[in-house]
Amino acid sequence: MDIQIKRGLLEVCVLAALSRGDSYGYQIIKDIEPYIAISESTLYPILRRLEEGRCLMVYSVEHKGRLRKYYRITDTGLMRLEGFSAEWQEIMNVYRFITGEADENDKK
Amino acid sequence: MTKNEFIRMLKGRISHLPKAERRKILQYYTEMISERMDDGMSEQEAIAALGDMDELFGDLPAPSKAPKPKSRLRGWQIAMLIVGAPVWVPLMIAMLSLLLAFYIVIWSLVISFYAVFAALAVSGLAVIYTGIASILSGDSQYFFSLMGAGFALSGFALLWLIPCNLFAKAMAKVTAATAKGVFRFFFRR
Repeated sequence: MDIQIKRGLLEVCVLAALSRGDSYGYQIIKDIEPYIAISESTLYPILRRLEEGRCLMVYSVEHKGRLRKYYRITDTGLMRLEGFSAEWQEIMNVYRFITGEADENDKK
Repeated sequence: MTKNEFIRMLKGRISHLPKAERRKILQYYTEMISERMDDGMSEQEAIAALGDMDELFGDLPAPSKAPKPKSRLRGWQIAMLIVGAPVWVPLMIAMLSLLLAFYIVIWSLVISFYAVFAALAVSGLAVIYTGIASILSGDSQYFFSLMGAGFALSGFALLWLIPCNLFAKAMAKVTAATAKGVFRFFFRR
């Protein structure tokens, strides 16, 4: 998959995973992995960017004698997620144009 | 690869990043290795699962492949400086002379401002002195006109001192600012 498209999709995937409740790095990977290839090294810059964009906040919880970082989605993050759902329709239109489906529909 | 080996390699890869960022990355990977090992993986498996480290950088600057050969670059720069000396030395002298001329001009202005003050003050005092001396002549009209003129001149001298001081302060600031600018230009690093 194109790296830019993948990065954009992964951001939304992370937000979607967090919209179901606070989570930590490894859990996020396990949640997303069945749908799109992701590893720790891929996740780090995405979390970093989302944090910088104030889409999520970070807090630490002690777990088995070490610190585990939890991520919580913010209102900005939720808005981003909603924005993606709205954009999806546009993306589907573009997809139909690319594959030629749109032309066939026009002819009918 | 063991965890320690991995951490050592990671440190090498991120050494160009700011300290806070380095700490965050190390914490992140340490946490992730622990998570995977808690999940039943061996140390090796956990590290292999972390993915391609190049992806880590994302928006961050990636490490440069080959560090710049500093000493060679320096030698090259020194050679250029020596070869270019006939060009840049006269240019620099000209620039410094210009700067010096600029300073002389603005400080001459300051001096002339104070010279006006001194002239006013001295002439005021001189007129007052002449007035006092004229008491002996007994001409009261002469005495009062001289004293009036003397005090007016002295008063004007004191008033003149206010813009003088303001101007001098402003010029001192200009001098300091340009000197700083020139210094920064030459010793930026």
